[in-house]
Amino acid sequence: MLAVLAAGAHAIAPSVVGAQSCDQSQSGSCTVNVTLRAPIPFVAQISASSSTSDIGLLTASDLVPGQSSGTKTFSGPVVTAQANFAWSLTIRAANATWTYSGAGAPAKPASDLAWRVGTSGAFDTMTTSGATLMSGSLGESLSVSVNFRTTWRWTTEPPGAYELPLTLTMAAP
Amino acid sequence: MQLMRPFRLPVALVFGLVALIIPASRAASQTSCSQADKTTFNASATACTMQHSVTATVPYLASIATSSLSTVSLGAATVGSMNSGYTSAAAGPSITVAANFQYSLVAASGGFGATGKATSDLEVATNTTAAAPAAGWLPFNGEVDLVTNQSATAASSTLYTFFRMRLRWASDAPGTYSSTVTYTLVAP
Repeated sequence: MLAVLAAGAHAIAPSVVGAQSCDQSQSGSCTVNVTLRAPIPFVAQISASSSTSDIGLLTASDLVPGQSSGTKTFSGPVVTAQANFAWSLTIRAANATWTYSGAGAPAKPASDLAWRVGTSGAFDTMTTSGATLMSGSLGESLSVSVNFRTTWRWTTEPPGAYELPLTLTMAAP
Repeated sequence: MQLMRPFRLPVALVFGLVALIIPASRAASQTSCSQADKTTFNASATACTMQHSVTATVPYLASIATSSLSTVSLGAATVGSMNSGYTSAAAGPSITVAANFQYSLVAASGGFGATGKATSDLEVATNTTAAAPAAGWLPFNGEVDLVTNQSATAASSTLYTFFRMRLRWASDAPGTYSSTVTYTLVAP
């Protein structure tokens, strides 16, 4: 709401409509008209409890020896959004593949990350086109806890550091 | 940036080994947006966005599964085997490796203790089938390479081991000889 107040304070300065004068000698009263203008733009705010979600310790049992891949589920951020209009917030992968730092050259797809709101229910595969994380009405402040699940493979994802940047975007439908 | 170090993994159970874990930033983040109209608010160039990253540090991960066989009996020596110089071959444990890195598997014998029998009198051979050892018995002169530079695997193949012991008329006094063999997974 700071943005709202700042915008309002900036716009609320009185504007003088032409030059006005007051001659008290005629009626004993003096009236000066002042017009206040306060344009309110489309204002919104998005916040997250953290800027990064780390998968934590990945173990051999997460990958499941004997199977080609395994998964690990972990907590993501609590995302809060509010706007002075009806809004929707989408989540998408910024890149088609994870960035990697290490000895190999894996092309780990963004779809290896799945997400859901809360800790129950089905996961949605992360895409670069995006999906709706939550929607709110005018003035409504909503928070959701994001839960992630990643898929890992024995033979194509060597040891190293992996990162997938995500983009949260608010829109006014 | 060097994230990982090669390691040696003595074996028997399922392991997950972390050489280095990079602590993740957990600082909160916030974006405030203000645009005069909806079109501008929704435009890609001025869109109201916030970035969030998912990070993972994948350590050197491996598991070694062995068959339940923990003791291998080579059978009692006979005159025939003493004359041939070796016991008959006996099947050892089968070994199945899963690793997310190129690996080698080595074995080492702890020797025969105070008997004085040479550690190298124990020999090992391997094969990809359980039927019989492949050619090439390897005496335990220090570590023995069972497999070298194998590609990362999801435990899709099993290695079978076989043992035999060299017999010597002049030095192998009657008794029971035992030795412990340790398998170690190595990231070259």
